[in-house]
Amino acid sequence: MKPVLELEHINKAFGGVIAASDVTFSVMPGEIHGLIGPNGAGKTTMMNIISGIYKADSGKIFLSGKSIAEMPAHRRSVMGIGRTFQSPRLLKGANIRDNLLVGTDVAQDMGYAKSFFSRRDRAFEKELEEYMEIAGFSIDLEDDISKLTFGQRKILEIIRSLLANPKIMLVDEPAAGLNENEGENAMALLRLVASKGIAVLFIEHAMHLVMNTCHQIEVLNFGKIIASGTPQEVSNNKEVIAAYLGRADDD
Amino acid sequence: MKLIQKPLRRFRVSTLLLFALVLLCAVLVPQLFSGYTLKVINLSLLYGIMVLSTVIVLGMGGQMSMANVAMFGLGAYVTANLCSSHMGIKNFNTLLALVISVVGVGLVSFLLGLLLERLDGTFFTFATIGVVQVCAAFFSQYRPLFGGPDGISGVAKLELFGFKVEDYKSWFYVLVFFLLVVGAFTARLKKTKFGRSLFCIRDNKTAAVTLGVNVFMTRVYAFTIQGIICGLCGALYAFMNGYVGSTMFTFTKATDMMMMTMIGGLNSIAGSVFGSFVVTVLPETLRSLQSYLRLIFGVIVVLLMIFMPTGLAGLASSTAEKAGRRLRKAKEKKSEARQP
Amino acid sequence: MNFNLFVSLLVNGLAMGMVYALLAMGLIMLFRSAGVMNFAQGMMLAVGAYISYATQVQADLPLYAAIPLCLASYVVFGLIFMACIYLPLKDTKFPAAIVVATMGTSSILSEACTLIWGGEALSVPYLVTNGEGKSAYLTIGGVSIQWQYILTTIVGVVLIFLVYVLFDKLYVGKMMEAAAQDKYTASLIGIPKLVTIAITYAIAISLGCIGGFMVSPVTYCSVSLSSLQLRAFASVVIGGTRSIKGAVIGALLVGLVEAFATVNLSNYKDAVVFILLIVFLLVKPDGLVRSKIGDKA
Repeated sequence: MKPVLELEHINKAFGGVIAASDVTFSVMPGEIHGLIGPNGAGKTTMMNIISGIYKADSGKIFLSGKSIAEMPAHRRSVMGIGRTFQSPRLLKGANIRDNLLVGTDVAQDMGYAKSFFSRRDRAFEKELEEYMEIAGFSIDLEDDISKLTFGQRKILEIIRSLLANPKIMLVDEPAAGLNENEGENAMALLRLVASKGIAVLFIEHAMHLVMNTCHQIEVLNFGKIIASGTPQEVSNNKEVIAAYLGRADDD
Repeated sequence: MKLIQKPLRRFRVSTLLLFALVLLCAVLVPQLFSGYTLKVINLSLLYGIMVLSTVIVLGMGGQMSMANVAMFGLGAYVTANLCSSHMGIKNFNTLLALVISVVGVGLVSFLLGLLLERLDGTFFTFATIGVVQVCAAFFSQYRPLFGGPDGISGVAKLELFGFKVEDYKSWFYVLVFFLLVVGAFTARLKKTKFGRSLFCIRDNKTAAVTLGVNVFMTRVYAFTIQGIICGLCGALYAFMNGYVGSTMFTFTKATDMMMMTMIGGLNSIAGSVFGSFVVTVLPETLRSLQSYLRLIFGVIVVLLMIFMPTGLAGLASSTAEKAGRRLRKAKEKKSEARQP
Repeated sequence: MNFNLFVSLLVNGLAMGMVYALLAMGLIMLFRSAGVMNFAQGMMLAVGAYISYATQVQADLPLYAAIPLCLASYVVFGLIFMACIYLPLKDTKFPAAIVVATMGTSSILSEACTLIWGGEALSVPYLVTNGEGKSAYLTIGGVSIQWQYILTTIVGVVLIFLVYVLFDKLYVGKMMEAAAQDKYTASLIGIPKLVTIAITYAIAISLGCIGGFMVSPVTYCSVSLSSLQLRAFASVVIGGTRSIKGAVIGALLVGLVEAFATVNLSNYKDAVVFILLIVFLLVKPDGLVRSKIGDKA
């Protein structure tokens, strides 16, 4: 099986601050891949580089074998890179249906003119129902998005990016700000994603979630990968323990 | 079952009501009013069409563009040049002139969009103010194309398929037609990928990019659509008024237009049409209060922005929602009472 | 172009540039503290001019009494403006609402002035006059310059210097700005945010009013003074929206370009100024002077 995402020798610096230094790893289809590390280790930066919001100073990025390092961010998402954010970025003042349709828009990759004349929006209810089953709450598609709680909106953002039919999803701290139950549901959703053959790369601070969910983990510190492997391997790694115990503040 | 399915509310009562109201107005207004009043109503309909273009650019895309008056002016002058003796052109097909104005202004605004849409937020707004000022200067000074301070007079009457649009009454119907077309277009746009992409950009540019939205080009298209709609209005204005003068296309008019949009409500199509109606018709009908009217009007704008930033439409819809909620609660209570 | 013409255009351009700079500084101070462009800023010129007319002509006060009275009224007016526009709108969810509210305010002020003082342009006395009440001229080596322009330039330079010292050099000003930008920092420093904002508004509005005070003898006093705000907008953009230094440079540039454009292109001087603006936006969108603080938006 070929990896869906490959990073080779990625470097990125902001002024004098090194955010990524010679980062190389790859993600297989259907794999849940954790990206962990202390605060400021460069995890979110790495996601921004992959999704194209930042341009790497040097290095190569391949999606299913195709080089995407020079591709603008919006093309990358159509190519199959989904993305969610630490605090959900949904459409304000719009109903849930419109919010979810944004995801299906990506999957359809239709021109504006064609979409203007197309008779029906893609039916996504069936797919959605499957996800909502795991999400653990009910929605009414016509409801305004503001009726959902923070946690529900975060989960809905994951679902939106799922409807975009991605090859790999970049999920930034899915459980942050969620209660225990919601966090578990979010993880279950990620497992369902993986079972469909979609790769997941996610950042998370809650270690028990990472250890229980991930197949593979990369540990970043100061922009460098200091360890990688299965949860078991990583948790026994001395450098990792030092990096985590050595940090000044603990959240 | 985690998905609450309700019967599809495609034809909501409010939509039907609105439609009925429009139909009623279309029948009643020309019977009730005539002469000057009807002329003012026509002007407000024209502004209503233009405000819709602001709904697209600002309401959906979150960009404050003042360039609408400049495009309005361009459209008017193109038509005036083609259909008057100013350039020595005779008997030019008026419908063709209308089309040329719309296409021409659309092209200009597309090119302008390519230039200006690289800018963000306040910078973009200022650049569009710059466009308005430059255009206004040329409109009022350059005689060969714009007639300078005299403007261009003697614009021919619009002829639609053998029917000459001459009196205020027929103009009323023409404008209602265009208003409905542009309104339906805007409403449809809101529900398609283009509208959603604009919403994405408005709310968060970074997120929009990760959702496959080409921010730059989408904005350029929105700006072009604004140009096309305003160009259309310009052409209609030239035909309707018979005279095109530079005072219609100044920065002050652009701020008036912005206030119309905000009074009606940025996110509502019916609201913004209503806003332009209020701003245009009220000052004319309340002539006895003329000297205080703009003052009162300013106060209303400020108060509205403070207490109801979504405009009158927002006020209406939130009242409707409240009423609906109360109704629903009453129903629930009833059904509860029925159950033992 | 002969030397005399050149000098008089230069002085004219500098003086008008100073007026634009006063407006532009006010705009930037409000932009930095409240994040919004004040579309009523141009009306401050008119308000300043009308208050000057009220004190100097209507009340017929001598200059030494009129000036402090004017200044006091400007400050009070700034505070009222803040109380009516900033306070109720500071937490609004729609940024466009604030902008439109300032547009509404502009039309309120314009109408109120017209109702009180009538629509006619009023003449305000020059600060330095000859025997017949006309402007006195300073003549050096065959070149004569209106005193009003010289005084406007001097007042402009002094105020620019004061604002620059206050905001860019003095600790208090830096703290005020920090407070304006970040509630958290403000609470750390212990400066009540409201006080800093009130001071900022008082200064920003007064600057515009003083500009009106200085310019009205030359332009006459009328509500159409507010149209000068577009030049101030242009200055702000050319200078870079966050830097006071940049706005001053931009304003002088606009003033000079406009003055020299009157020679050959007098009908199109507006067009020249705004084409300059658009070119600047496209070539140097960050403005002449980059601010140290990045634009978050």
